[in-house]
Amino acid sequence: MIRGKNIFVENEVGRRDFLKLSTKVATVLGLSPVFIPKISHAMQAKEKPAVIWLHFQECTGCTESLLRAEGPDVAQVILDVISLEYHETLFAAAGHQIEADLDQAMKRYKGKYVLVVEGAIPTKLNGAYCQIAGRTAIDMLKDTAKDCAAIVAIGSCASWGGIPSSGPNPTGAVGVKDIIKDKPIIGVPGCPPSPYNFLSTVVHYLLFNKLPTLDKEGRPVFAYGRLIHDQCERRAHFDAGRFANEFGDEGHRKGYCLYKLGCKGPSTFGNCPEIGFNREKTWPVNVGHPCFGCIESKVGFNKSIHELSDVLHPNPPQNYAQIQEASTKPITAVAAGVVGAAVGAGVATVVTKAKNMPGEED
Amino acid sequence: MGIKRRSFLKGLAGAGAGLTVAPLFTGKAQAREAKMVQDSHVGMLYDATKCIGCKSCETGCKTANNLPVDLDPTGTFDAPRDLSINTFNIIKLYDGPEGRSFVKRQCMHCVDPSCVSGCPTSALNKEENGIVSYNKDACCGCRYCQMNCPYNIPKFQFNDWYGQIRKCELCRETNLVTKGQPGCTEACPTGAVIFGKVKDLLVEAKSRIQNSPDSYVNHIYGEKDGGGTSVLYLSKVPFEKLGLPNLPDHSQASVSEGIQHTLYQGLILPGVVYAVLAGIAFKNRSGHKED
Amino acid sequence: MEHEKALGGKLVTSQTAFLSLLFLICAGLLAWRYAVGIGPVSNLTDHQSWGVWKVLGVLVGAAFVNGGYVTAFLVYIFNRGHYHRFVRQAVLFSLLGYSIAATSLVYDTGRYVNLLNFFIPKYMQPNSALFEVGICITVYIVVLAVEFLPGFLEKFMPEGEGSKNFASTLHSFLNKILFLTVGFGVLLPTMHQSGLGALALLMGQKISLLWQTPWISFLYVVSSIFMGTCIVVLVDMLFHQKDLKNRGYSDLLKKILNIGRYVAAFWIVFRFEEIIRQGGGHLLYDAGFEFFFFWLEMILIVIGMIVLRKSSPRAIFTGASLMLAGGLLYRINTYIIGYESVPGMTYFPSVPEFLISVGMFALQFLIFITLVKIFPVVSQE
Repeated sequence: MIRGKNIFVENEVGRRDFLKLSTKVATVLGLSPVFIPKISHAMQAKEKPAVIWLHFQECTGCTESLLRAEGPDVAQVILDVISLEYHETLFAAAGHQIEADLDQAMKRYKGKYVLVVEGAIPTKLNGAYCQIAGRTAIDMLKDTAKDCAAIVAIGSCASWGGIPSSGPNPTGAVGVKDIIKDKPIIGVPGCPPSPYNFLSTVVHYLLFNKLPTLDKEGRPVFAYGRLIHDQCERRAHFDAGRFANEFGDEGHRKGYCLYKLGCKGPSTFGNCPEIGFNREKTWPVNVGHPCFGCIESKVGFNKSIHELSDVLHPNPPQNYAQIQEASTKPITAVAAGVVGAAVGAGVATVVTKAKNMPGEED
Repeated sequence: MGIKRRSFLKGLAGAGAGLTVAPLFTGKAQAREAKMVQDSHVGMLYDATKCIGCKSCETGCKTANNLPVDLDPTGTFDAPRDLSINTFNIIKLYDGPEGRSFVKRQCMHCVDPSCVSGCPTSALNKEENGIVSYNKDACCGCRYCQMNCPYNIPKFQFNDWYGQIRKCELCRETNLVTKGQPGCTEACPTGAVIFGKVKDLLVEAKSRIQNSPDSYVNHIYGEKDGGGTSVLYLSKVPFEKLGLPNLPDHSQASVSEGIQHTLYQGLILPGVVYAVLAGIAFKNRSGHKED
Repeated sequence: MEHEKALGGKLVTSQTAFLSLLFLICAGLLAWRYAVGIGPVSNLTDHQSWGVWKVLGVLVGAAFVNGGYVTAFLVYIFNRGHYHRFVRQAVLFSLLGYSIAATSLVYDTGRYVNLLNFFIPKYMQPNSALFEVGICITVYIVVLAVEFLPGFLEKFMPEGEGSKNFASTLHSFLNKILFLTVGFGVLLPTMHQSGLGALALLMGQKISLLWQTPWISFLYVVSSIFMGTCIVVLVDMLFHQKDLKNRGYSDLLKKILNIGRYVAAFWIVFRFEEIIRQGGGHLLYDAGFEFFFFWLEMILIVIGMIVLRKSSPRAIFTGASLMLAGGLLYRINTYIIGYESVPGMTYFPSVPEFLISVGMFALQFLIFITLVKIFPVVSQE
């Protein structure tokens, strides 16, 4: 526990809840149950990675959702698993005092701390659109990133620009990877991303001492490797052609597929249907609203919410109707036998009759 | 030994009268005029390149026509594999070297339908608006329409004690009346299948090929195939791969009716032949009594 | 006064008992068919909608009995009085055969009450070959009945010369107008046999080029002619086994069959010409299911023709049987073997389906055998 600096989290986490959490992390990472005790152990390790958490053009939603996740437990664990050295929302201190803390932390953990960035970085007007303590976001990011071990860009804003980058992008908002090029960057996009994706990324590092496998966009494959469409609980309705056409119509009330209402599941990668959000594991489609692709850089805040999505990798189910389907009843041995017997009888009759007739010699 | 020459020649003359019309068989047998698309005919245009295989049209059809669920072979999913007595329209998948494509199959509402030509009791009719309709009160259940449809569309309720033929009728008594278009075109989210007058759809299809020649096979299936159909197809994959047969530009009905009309129009030829035969038999009636 | 006499003899023999049994099984199965529909009883499906009921019952059955057609042609048109003795039994056989064929159509239609629509002007559709076949067969059955009526009446005519009753009046009237009925008796079978072939025309490419041709109507008429000669001979031989050693008799039969052979030869040549003209030549040697049945059909007929070069009764019987079998196979081949709605489809009748067809044939033979025992049908020459 980091006392003094963290006033929001005060309760102890019980052992059972801790194991539940470890189980969930194992699931998210796609690890076998063998790893559950190892995960628990890793999360309680004395050696905690120092984390410096920066905020730029953001709504603080990522932090807030972390804190709200399933009650305080997850938040607590996250904050236990890491050694949070700088966080503008969570820390009670302010002003020069906290800036001094930041410098100290950077020096103390030089080369070893993890830099978590929340929010996009504006680039127009030399970054004047976001300044903290007189420094632009760009400068702050570059300075802080210099001595870090790795960067986690949490949320869509930090990953690729997010909502500040939509439309005409008046501030020239970009993601971390467009500014920093010489450090490993893991993107955990989402608006907000599931807290479990963030936690699992950190735990992965603690467990295996290396970062998880990333896809082309720098996102962990364990969370962003599959299309939401391919994991959606309403997929069967899509495959069978059952759609909601309007909010509140019969199809909508029956829980049919929301593709026609603009669901971007078919073009968005993520694991929202699998792990959901909050204690009830809800996610947008689950409660009747189409996914709008908040994770995906060219989809969320780019395509309008009710615009029809592209269908990436359309994969018809195995039992899709094929071009030629012959519906015929099979030939049974009995039938073949009966017909054969009849034909045989006919032939035998003719032959017998013929034999009894006078031949050439008569 | 041998048939009496005179009577043989008489008999031959009689038969010859019938056979002199034989030249009418060749070439001229297709003499029955080709039927053309009328301005009032409605139909559909299906563009396989826009189809995402969502099967909204299958569900739309079932809803519009109150059709029950058709299960897949495992009995688990509402996923018919083919047209049937409960499935009037189906999306099928082709996955091959030329690419992947879906294809929508339903009654083609041919311009000169074989089923209409062959139905002995006028149960199938080509309506004013071009729809090929079915009338169960006229139908005797002979299933000739199943045998002669080049697309194998009509399905019969074999397991019913007094079955009917079932097929797409472009929702002529259901959705077409209440919503102005069939259930399938209403349901399609991408506009892969659209409804309209056939002549307008042909113009649209031609312009699509013209505007993106690389996206399509340069042929509008149904423009002339089998004498023409009211449901037109555009595709990137060759039509034969999608199960649409390679048919000549004339309809089978024109061939069959050409021959039938040549022989029986106005019952003239049969009348002539009959008169000749009866005449010969009359002449012979005293002759054959002796043995 | 005519040549024909009732055969007499016991009506119940092991033969008729067996045929009755076959028919009873069929009747039971038909009752089941009417209760549950066509599907559960047969192997008919949407992809093979016409099976043994239509093809064996109607098409084959109708060809099987073309004896009446051929004899009418020979006797009344070609004026070969010599063949007159065959007429009545051929007519009866045809009458029964076509009636059975028409019945097959009734149980093989799904909405049989609407078969009456064939005769209601509002529903008639004369473009359809099936309509033409239906009307034609119906009228032909009436014509055959009228042609057979004299034979039926003779049983009720008084023996002595000069005495009359209603039966004898009607009998002589019918003989006077015989030329009118004969005209139909030749015209109508020509029409509906060609119609049975014409049914295939609308099926277009679904029927293999080995059988499909615009001339198929003509080919069906021609094949029914040579099949008719075979049937006339076979039926007669079965009733005159005592006379087989008579040289004159077997020569007479041979003459009929010679006509059949020439007609068959013409038919074979025309068949091959059409296959090749339409570009189906490769099918003649590309091994496969259809290839096998096509050649079987041809070989049966050709071997039959070869066997008929001899004149012994045994040769005649065998040759005629072979040619007839080939002709029957022609019809089965057109609509079942040669018909493919979708690639990969197969069809084989189910046991009940087949037994119904067998039972109907049995009924035809049963009635024929019974009637020739009661009525003067078979010639006694």
